[in-house]
Amino acid sequence: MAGSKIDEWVMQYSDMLLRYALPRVHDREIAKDLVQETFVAAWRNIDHFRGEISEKNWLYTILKNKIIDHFRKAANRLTDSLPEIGEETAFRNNGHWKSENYPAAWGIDYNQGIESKEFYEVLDQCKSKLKDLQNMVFTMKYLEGAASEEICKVLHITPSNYWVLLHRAKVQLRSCLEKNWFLR
Amino acid sequence: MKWIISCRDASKFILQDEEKKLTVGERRRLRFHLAFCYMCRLFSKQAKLITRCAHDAHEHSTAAFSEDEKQQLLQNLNNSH
Repeated sequence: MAGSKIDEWVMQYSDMLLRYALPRVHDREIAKDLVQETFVAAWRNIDHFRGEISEKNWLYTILKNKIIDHFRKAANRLTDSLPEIGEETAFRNNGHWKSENYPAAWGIDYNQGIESKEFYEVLDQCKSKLKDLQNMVFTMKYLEGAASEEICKVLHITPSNYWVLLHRAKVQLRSCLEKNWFLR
Repeated sequence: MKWIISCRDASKFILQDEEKKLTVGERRRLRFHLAFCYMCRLFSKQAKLITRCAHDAHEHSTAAFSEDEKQQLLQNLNNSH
């Protein structure tokens, strides 16, 4: 590849792209690979880059597609038997919250944003504890803002599986944040 | 579906409501449940807060390539044509 342009990209954008990929895939090596593949794809397609969007947003778009591809492949390896569907953790048989999962008041204004860096580290740790498929559904829905129809297609799951996975992911993440941040 | 729904169903309805995927009847059952269930009202507020925070997660990340990793990346890129 032509040296100077690549050097410039790496210096200017590699950390930004890594920060985007890491909370989505939770694996530094995979995130680094995705960033590398993004630069390679960008370089191969540089003739198609017309400057209609900024270089930065163009790289983001390529990386987003790489991440979705990564999920598609990972889900293909997982979804044959859907082992993650079927177990229930947060609710009793009668559908009531289990005592250890009772939502408790956090004593904050829920409409305010949270600025603390440490909070986002805890969020990331809690998210990384989710099972693979739950995590991918959560990431595509809440980090990428994808539509549920697209998520089902990419991850090869039915709409009813989607809701079960998203529901469990959010219930578990809420409990984890409560224990490790809001009421620690 | 029964008029009285469980917390399991209510918390799922809360997420489905964010995507406007509830029927009129389901939304009515959810409202009725929330009217007397403090825990699900909390879940609703907290779930929405988590949605907003998750969306901004990468803006708060401090991750970075180390110098070595950057050099390795450059080397890999310059070797791939």
